[in-house]
Amino acid sequence: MAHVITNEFYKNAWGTEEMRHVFSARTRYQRWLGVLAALARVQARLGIIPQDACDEINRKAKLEFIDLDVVKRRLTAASHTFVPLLKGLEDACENGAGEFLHFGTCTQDIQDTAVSLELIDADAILSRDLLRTEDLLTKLGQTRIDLPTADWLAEVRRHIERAKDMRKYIFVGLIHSSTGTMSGLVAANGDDDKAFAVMEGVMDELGLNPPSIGWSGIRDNFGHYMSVLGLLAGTLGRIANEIDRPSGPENANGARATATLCQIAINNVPLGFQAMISEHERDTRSWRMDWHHLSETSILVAKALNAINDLLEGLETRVECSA
Amino acid sequence: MSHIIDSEFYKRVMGTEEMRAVFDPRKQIQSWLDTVAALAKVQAELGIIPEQAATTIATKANAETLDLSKIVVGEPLSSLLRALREVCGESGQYVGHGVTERDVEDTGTMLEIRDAFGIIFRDLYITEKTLRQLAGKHKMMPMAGRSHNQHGPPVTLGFKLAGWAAETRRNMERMKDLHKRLFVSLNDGETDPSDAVLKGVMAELNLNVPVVGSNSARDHIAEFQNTLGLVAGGIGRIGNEIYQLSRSELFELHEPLGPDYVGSSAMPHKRNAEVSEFVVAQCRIVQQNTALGMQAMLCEQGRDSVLLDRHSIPESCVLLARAMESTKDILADLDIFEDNMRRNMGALDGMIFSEALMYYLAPKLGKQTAHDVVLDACMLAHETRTPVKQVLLNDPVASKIVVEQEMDELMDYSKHIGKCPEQVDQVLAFAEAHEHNDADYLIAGKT
Repeated sequence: MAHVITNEFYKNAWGTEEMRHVFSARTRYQRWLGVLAALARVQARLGIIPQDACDEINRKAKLEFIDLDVVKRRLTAASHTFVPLLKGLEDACENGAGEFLHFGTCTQDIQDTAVSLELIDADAILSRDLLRTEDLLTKLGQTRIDLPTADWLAEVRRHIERAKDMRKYIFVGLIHSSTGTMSGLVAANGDDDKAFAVMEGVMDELGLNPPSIGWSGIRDNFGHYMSVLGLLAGTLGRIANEIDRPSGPENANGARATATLCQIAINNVPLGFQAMISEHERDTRSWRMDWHHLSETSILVAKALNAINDLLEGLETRVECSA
Repeated sequence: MSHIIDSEFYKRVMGTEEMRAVFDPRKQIQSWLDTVAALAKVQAELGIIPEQAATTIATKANAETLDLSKIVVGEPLSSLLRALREVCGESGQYVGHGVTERDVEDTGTMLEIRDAFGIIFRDLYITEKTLRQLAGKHKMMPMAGRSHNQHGPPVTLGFKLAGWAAETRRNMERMKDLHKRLFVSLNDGETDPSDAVLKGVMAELNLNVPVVGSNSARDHIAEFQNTLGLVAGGIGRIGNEIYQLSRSELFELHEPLGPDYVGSSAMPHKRNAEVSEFVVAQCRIVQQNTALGMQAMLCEQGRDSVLLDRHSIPESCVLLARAMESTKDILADLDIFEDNMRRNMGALDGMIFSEALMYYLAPKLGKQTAHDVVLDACMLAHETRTPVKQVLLNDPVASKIVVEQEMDELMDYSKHIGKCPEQVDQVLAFAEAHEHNDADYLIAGKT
C-alpha cells in the first residue's frame, strides 16, 4: 500500500477505518453488483426480463460468487474498468440468467450510481460526527470562555446546513444508457416503452432521486460535494490551528497533523471543479479524477473531524478534572 | 496595468467594465466611507454621538472630495480614516466610534460581494433563459452522441442544450442557498449581535446580523468563491463543448463571428472559436482560485485571510463576469449546422446504431451474446472499412437471423434519440418550478 491513507503503519493517522470501508475496492465492487441486482428486480417486475433470471442474478450478485482472480486478469487484458466484473457475474449466473444482466444500461450508469451511494454513506458519517462536534462545542462553551467556541459552533452549524442543502443535488442516480438518452432502456424494452419506469424504479430501490436529465457528462453534483468537504476542512483546520498555538489550551497534540489533512483536502477541491469541464456525453478524463479526489478527500476529512472531536472531548475532560 | 484583467489592450476580453467597476479601488474606499457614515448615523439616532457629528461625517465621507493622496501603502484604511477625521474637525473624533478597522473593511468587502453576486446571478438567469428556448426549439434535432470522444447513440441538440440549462439552473439554485448565509457582515466578536448599533448599521446597509461576532469566520466568503467555481464549471463546460464541436472536421456548432473577424495572421481561412477558448481559460483560473478562499479559512484569527481574499475575489469575479458575458453573446447568436450533424452521424457507416443492433439481436441470441456478435462485426467493419450492416449480412451466425429490410428500418437516426425530447421537457419543467423567486436575486445589492 503506497498511499499514506492506506499505509499499514500510518493509515489511522490519515483516515478512519469506517470511511476507508465506504470507498474500499471491494465495497465498491459490491455496490456495482448491487446496482445490477436492483436493475434486474425492477426489470423483472415490469416484465422486461424473466423472474427466474432476476432471482438468479440477485442470488449471485455477491462478491463471494465472483472469481476475482479472473476479473483481475481480464482487467489487464481488456483495459475496461467494468466489463471484467460484469463478465464475472455473468459467469457465476446459471441457466442463461447472465443474458439479462445490465439490460439497457451502460458502464457509467452502474459506476456513477454507485458513487452516489458512496456519497450517501460518506455524508451520513460526516453529518453524524458534525453533530457530535456541535454537541461538544455547546458543552465546552459553558466552561471554556478562553476559547472561541461560539464562533466555531456557528461555523459547524453552517456546515450542517450546507450538507442539508447539498443532498438535493448529489443524491441522484444515473440509469440513462450510453449517452444519457435512455436509448438502451428503450431498445431493451422492445416496443413497450418502460424506460422511465425502469430508471425511476431503480432510484426507488436504491434510495436515490431521479435526475431531470441524464448527467453522464454533467458533473456538478460531485463538484458540489467536493466544495462542501473543502469548506468543512477549512473550519476543522482553523479549529486545529487555534488550538495549536503557544497561548492555546493544554492539549494540542494532534492538532497540527489535523491542519495538514485539511490543507490536502482543500487542495483537492479544484479537481472536483475541473472535472465539471467535461466533454460531450461522457468524458473519462473528468470522470476518473473522481476516483482519486472523492475518496481521498472524504477519508482525510473524516479523520480530521474525528481528531477535532477527540481533541474537544479531551479539553472538556480536563476542565471537569480541574474543577 | 500589468495584470491581464486590467490590461490596456486586453481588459475587454478578460473582464467586463461592469464587474471591474464593482472592485474599483475608489469604490472600495467609498464603501468603507459609507460604512463609517452609516455607523455615525445609527449612533446619532441612538444618542451615542452628537447629531451634528453624524451630519458632518456623512457630508465628508466622500471619496471624490477627500484627499486620497493621504492614503498610505500598508495601512490604507487607517490612513483613510485619519484623513476623514482631519476634515471633520471637532466631529472627527466620532469617526469609526467603537468599531475596529477590520469591521469596516469586512463590511466594505461584503458590499462589493453583494454587487458581484447580483451581476453573476443576472447573467446565469439570462443564460438559462436562452438555453431553455434553444433546448425546446431543437429537442428533436438528432446529432451524434459522443462517449470517450467516440460515437455513441445519437442525442438531440436540444438534449445537449437542456443539459447546459439544467446545470445552469442548479447553479442558480445554489446561489439562492448561498444567499441565506453570505450577506452577514463581520464584527470583531466584542460586539453583542443583539447590540442596537450593530443591528442598526446592518439595517442601514441592507446586510444581515451574524449570529456571533467573529473576524475569523471566513466560511461564507469561501463558500461564495466555491460557488463561483461551480458556476465556472458549468460555463466552462459550455465553452469547451462549443470549441470542440467547431473543429473543422465536425463543424456542428460555432460561435458567431463578426464581420471584422480575423482568424489568423498566417492562415486566412481560420474560423477559430476563440471566444469560447477564452471562456474555458477564464473558468479554469476561477476554479483554481477557490483553494485560496478555503485556505483563508485556516488563517489563525483571520489575520492574513483578508489579504488572500483581496486577490482572489476581484480576480475571480472579473474573469467569471467576462466568461458569462461571452457565453451570453455566443448563445444569443449560436451558429448551428444541421447538415454537418447529419453528415457526421454517418461517419462510422452505421456503427452509431450498434446498441440498437445489439437489442435487435438480443431476443434471438440473448443480450450478452448479441453484444459479442455486434462487437466482432464492428471490429471487422473497422478493419475492412465495410458498413456494419453488410458485415452482419455476411456473418455465418448473424446472417441467419438478421433481415436486411428490418435493419434498414432500424437504422434511422430519428428512431434512436431515446428519451431526449421527454428529458428536455423535464428540464424545462424543473426550471419552471423553481423560477418563481428568481427576481428576488436579480437585483444587485438586494439582500
